[in-house]
Amino acid sequence: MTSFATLALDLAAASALVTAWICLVHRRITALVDTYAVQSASLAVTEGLIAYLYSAPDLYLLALLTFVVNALVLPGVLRRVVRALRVNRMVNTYASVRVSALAGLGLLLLAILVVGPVVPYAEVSSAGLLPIATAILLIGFFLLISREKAVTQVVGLLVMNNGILLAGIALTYGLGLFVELALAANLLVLAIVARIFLARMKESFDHVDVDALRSLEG
Amino acid sequence: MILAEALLLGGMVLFVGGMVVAWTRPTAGGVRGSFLLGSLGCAVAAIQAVELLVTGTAPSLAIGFPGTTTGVPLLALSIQEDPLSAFFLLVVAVSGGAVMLASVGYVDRYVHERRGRLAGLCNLFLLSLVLVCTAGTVFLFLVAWEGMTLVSFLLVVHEHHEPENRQAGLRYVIMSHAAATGVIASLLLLAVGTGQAGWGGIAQGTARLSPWVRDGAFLAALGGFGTKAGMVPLHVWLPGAHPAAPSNVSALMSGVMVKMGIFGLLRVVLDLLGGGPSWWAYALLALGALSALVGVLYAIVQHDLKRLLAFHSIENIGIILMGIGAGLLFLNLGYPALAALALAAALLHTWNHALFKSLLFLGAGAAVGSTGTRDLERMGGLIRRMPGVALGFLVGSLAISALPPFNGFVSEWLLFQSFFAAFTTGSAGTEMTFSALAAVLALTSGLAAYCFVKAFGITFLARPRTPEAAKAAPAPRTLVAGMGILALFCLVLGVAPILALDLAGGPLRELTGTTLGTGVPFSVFSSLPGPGSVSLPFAPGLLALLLAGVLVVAWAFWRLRGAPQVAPGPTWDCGMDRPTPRMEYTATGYAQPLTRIFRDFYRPRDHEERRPALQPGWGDLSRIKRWAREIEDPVWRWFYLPLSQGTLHLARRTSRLQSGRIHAYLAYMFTTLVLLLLLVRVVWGGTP
Repeated sequence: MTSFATLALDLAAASALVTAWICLVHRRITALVDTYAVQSASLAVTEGLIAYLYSAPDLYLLALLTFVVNALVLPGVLRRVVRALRVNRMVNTYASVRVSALAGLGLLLLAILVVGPVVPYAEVSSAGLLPIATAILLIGFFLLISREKAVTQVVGLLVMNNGILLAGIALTYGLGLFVELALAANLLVLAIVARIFLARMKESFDHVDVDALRSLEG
Repeated sequence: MILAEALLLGGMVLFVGGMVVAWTRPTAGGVRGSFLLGSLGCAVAAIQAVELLVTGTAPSLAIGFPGTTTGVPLLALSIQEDPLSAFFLLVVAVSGGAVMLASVGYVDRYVHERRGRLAGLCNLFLLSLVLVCTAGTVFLFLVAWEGMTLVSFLLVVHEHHEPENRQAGLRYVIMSHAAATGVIASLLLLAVGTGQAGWGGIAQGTARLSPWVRDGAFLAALGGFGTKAGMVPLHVWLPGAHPAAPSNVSALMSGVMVKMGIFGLLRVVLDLLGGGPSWWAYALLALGALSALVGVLYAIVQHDLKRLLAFHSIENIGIILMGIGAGLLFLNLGYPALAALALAAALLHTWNHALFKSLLFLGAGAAVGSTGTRDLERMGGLIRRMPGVALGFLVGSLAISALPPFNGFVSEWLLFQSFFAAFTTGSAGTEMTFSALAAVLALTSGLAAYCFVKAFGITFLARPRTPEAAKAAPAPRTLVAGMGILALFCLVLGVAPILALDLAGGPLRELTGTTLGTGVPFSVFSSLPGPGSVSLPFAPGLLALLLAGVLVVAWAFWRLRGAPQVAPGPTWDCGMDRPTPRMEYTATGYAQPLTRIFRDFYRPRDHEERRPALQPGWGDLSRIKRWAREIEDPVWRWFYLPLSQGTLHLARRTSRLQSGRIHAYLAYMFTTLVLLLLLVRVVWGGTP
């Protein structure tokens, strides 16, 4: 049973990583948001399995929270944003899809190289979660900087957040429930702020291209 | 004991009173009262300083929050005077008091706006100067030092409607700011290294510091205090700031504030560090010689009266630095008695310069205020309009030109003696160094005299060159009184320098462990005390008597022969026309021979405006209609201009990073993160 659970944990974590990487190769915004939802769901499953394996009942709640907020609510908000703002459904990138995919692999390599030696010191060591978490974080960051549209950048930020969440669990069995709750609430606020921000941008500039900020340049 | 504290606090209370009066009642009467209160405060502070120097009773006030001395020792605040502080307090107080007295009339007559603000700031300025002198701990010193800089900046830009003044003020505040980092770095290095906040505690601990820390503290102090003192090449704020400020402020800044740089250097280098390797001394000697020469050479070619005086401050600071450097070298070579002689010359020259430079700036203030111009070429003939001021300026000119029987002669003569005494040390290198330095000092004094013939002659003698100069109003009485006090001090310290040397005994013992003329009584008419029990071959009192005797004999002779018949007649006009002021010697013309000799140094740019020749064959001369000569400071061109342009260039290059694109900023963060991760991997091999 335990070995099966361990296998399932590895699988769930790998799924979270792979879905994060898939975020890099999407050309359509809606597909990107869907993938993010899947990634969050994988993360929730990972958390649930850790809770089971290490008998940390707090983490069940956290897993539930992750599933509800990150996998259902936030993607829902994002989809509504895309619909409401009639954003061009295509993802505009600075780095081509191919380059992005390769960069994602490079970042995974970097994460394993740098964080790998630290693993023995992490609390949940069996699954090698820390390198995976770091890779997700870096991929999220890369998404943030290589995509033009504000909506896609928000997705990048959320992927980063998932990475940070996973890293926190890997290092400490969860950051303590209240911290998690605060984090989740923060994310919601972030989503709402992003929604308002995007709406305002749409009103004022009739597009959500962050590049237009360049006109502020001295 | 109580008396010393009461005097010091009383002086400070008077300054605060002066501030309050000026700011609450900015009327003419309030402003006068404010300056008089400041003057009184200086007098009280001077009495306290003399009391300490003569009897050795030092005031000691801890401005304590409970526990500061134990809790955060570096933040301890206390006022603690030693002889060195008291000597500089005396320098501040005498010149400050005379200038404040002179300001009563000066501001009344020549300053037309915001007088209350000016008077209040002058009082605050003196308060900060007194605090700089008397601060007993690092932290209080730094606070007072910055306060002094800020207040003097506000005073420099008092007439801020002139763009030129604003620029000078900006340059001043930038350089002072940079200098403050040196001062702070130096003092904190020593305070943190020794774990002490008070001067005494630091001085006991510095011997244990590593040579690197000591060298660092020396260099930082040299840069920081050197800037305030106006040492070349850190002097460039000075020729701008002194002319920009109202003249009474210039007198305070040039006469008094600049000396705080010397005070800081003496405090750090000799008192706290207790001397150092010989390269410190050579650095001071070289920078001193450079400052003296550059200062006087630039002074000669100025035709702005106050700028000319400002360059002379640089020259005199150079002379003082040479004295300090010589003292340091003698200490290093193991001749404390010779060090005492050189440092006595430096201390005396510091006081003397404070006296005659304040005097000269006050005189310049009267000339500038009544003619409305600082340009020498537009003055002339002022001796008939303001004889008192002219006499005072003459005394100052003689003193700064190092002519007996005035004080400048004594201190420069003592410095020469210390240079010549270097020949008893028997080291060829030292002998050659001091021969060269003596030559520099001699050249400097000679050129200073040359320059003051011009400064006095063009300003006060001959015929007025402009209608404004012809109609100049007589100077206010308090201004003449303030100048009179300073001139009297110049004369007394020239005739009886033994008084000043007695007062300098305490600081000398503090800095070198010995003093001049140990164990031999000296009086006003005996020859001057020298190193150890030797006496120097010069009795200024006797010389003054001799000079007075000659004057009396000449006067008697003149009376006996009867007054000579004076027959006024026209000046010969070369057969051209009636002599006009345009035929007089100009300041530029007077400096011409030297500009020619030092052409490679000055690199003058001449502007000529020509017209067709009046007559064929009359040659070139008649075709030049206007002729002007422009000389700019090469230090500015070769040092500061490349510095500022390089900084701007770098800033422009850096600003390309600022694309204004949010992605770019995020990418910077991302790249930094990735690089740091790689660095961690490479440097620590991945093991935490």
